[in-house]
Amino acid sequence: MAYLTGGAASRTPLLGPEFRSVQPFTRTISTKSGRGGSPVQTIGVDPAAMSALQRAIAYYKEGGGYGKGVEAALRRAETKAVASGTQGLVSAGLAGTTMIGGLGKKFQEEVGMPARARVEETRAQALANLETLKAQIIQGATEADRQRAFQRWQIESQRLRPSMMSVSPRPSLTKAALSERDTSGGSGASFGGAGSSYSDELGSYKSGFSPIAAAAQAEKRRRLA
Amino acid sequence: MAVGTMKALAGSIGDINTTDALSMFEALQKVFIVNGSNLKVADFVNTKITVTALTSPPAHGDILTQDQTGGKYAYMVVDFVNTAKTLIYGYAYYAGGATAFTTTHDITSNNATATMDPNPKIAAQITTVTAKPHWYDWTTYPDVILTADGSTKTYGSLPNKAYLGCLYRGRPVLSGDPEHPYQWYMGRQLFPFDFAYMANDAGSPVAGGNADAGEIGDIVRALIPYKDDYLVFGCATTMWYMAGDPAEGGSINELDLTVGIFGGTSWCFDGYGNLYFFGTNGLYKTTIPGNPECISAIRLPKLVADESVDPSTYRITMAYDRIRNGIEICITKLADGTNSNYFYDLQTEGFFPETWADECGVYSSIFYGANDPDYRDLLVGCKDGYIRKFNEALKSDNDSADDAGIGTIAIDSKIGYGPIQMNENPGKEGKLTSIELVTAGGGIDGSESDSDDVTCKIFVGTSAEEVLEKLVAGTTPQFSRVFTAPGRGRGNRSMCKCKAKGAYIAIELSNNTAAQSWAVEQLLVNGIPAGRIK
Repeated sequence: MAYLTGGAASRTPLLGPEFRSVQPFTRTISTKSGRGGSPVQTIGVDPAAMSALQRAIAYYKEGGGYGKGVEAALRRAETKAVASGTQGLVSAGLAGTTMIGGLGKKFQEEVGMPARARVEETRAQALANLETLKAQIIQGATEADRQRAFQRWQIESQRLRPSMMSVSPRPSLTKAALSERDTSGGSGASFGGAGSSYSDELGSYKSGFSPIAAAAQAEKRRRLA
Repeated sequence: MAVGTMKALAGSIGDINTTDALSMFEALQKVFIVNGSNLKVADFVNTKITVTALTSPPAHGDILTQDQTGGKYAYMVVDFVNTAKTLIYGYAYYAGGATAFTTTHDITSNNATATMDPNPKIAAQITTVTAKPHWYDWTTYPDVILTADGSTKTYGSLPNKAYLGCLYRGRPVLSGDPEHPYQWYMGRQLFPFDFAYMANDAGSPVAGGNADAGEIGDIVRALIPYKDDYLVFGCATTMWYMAGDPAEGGSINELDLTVGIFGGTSWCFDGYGNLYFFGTNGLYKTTIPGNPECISAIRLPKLVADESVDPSTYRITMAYDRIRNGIEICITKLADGTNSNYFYDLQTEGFFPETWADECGVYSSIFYGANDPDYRDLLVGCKDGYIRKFNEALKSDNDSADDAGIGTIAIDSKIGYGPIQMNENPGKEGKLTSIELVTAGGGIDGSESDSDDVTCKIFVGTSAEEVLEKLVAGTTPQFSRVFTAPGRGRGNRSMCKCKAKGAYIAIELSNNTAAQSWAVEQLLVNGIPAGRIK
């Protein structure tokens, strides 16, 4: 026997691929393995991959490891540049002028600030790329998940189609149902027709009549209503 | 320039201290006065707009526009704003028939560099518009708010005091700050109101000293710019020069580490690019760059000792006389005008000592290159406040009580020859037999200027220095005679016999009569050997 169960957030996809929920969710389709099915399905992103992505983002964010070496390199370069510039000014006889006082500032304006600007530009570009990648991954995973769910629906549909096609009672019972209707004015209630003791909703049934078919009919009636 | 009446700039009277050192230089159509704490500007190019105080002024170079309606516009390129932000100086130009800024229309700024606040400046807050010239304090530009990023730009500060100033490569240069006597200060190139050092561009203001690395530097006594190529720093015991611009590949080099300069006016250039300055041991001559040479060392070996001058009490002024082709060196005592002067003839390389009346003691000198040749001459500023020039047409000096062009003070002029050895054998004497003096002028009247009479004195002695002492003292000549001028006259007019015997003789020719001048063409002296020295 197959049961269709689900929580409040679940909707059966049996009537077609019209999902009402876009939230990833988990549900049990069948207690026994079917064609292409699996006992439990979870959405897309491998945690290891996402973790690696987050680490990369953290690296490029402020306070991460990116750019730490640049400041140290700039300090060293400034020391060397100022020393070299001082030697030049001494040779030119300008050691006793404010030109020496401006060497550090000159280095910062011509080397330090552009270097820092390039670092920040690279940082921003890297973060943008990573965030874009992250979005792509999540979007891809979401779409993949939906695709899988659709495929599962298709698989189930395919698998259950013969049963769905037997919405009408088996030919051997049809005649009996019709004759009952004809004779009693009912609708073959004993055989699952209208007024039968069978529930329109999901519920118990008599042999020979598929509960899935009954559920499909109930759904159809609900929609029409 | 024709003769005119000198006029004082409004607001300038009493604004400078003439008992203190003062220098001035021309830059950007202004004159900058450097007089201790009195740093002033005489502005001959800008228009002045007086307004109620601005919150934030326009920047140097911003354009102010005044729409006077009817298609009339007045524009101003902002040059300077005072510290209180109430005076805006700038070059004004007009369009559409406007002729001046008015106080009845708003003024807007294009905010090209700085954001003016308020903008526009409404007419009710415009007080007056004043045409050039102007007299105002030389200060740095007030802070402005940059339009680009809203930050505040500052322009540094001038030294509290300065006594030396010049223009070099478009930069105002100051020195002689008593608080930092070794320091010089250069403002921004072509913008004399910016002294914010370390601006990190080719026109950045620069301050510094002249010394080897790590040393403070020598006391600066003179700033001597030479074209746009070199700036010589005359210091107390050394001489330095800057080549090029310190913010763009320039350098400071030693000119001489053993010679200093006397003072800020003790230098001049001749017409050949040679620098002359009164230095440690006398008069020096050098090229830039070059090696200074003491040109007075032979002829006046004790010049400095004899003059015994102190920079705190004397002023030495030097000027190149382009007309007479010589250097006028004036040594004047500041307190009373006592003076001792030398004319250095560039052709003969000789020194001519001169002394003038105390009231004519020279405090400053400059060659005025007027278009009119009557006014083109070397001008000297004298103790009594008059400006004088050398006038060959006058035969007597001008006194304070004299009118211009009139002289009543007798000029006592003389030349000396000797000591002259009278005998081939220095141990024996010689005897003078006759003297003939041919004065200038040819015959009486004629085309050449006639000399006046000349007094001839002969001094004798047994030694050279004895004769020299007598010559210098000018007393007790062995022979004295007045020769009648001009030319070579007959009889005793130009020649006479004389008896003067000695091992050495000296001859003095002179004239000290008012309203007379003299010149000599020839001096012929005849003598014979005499016996041993007695």
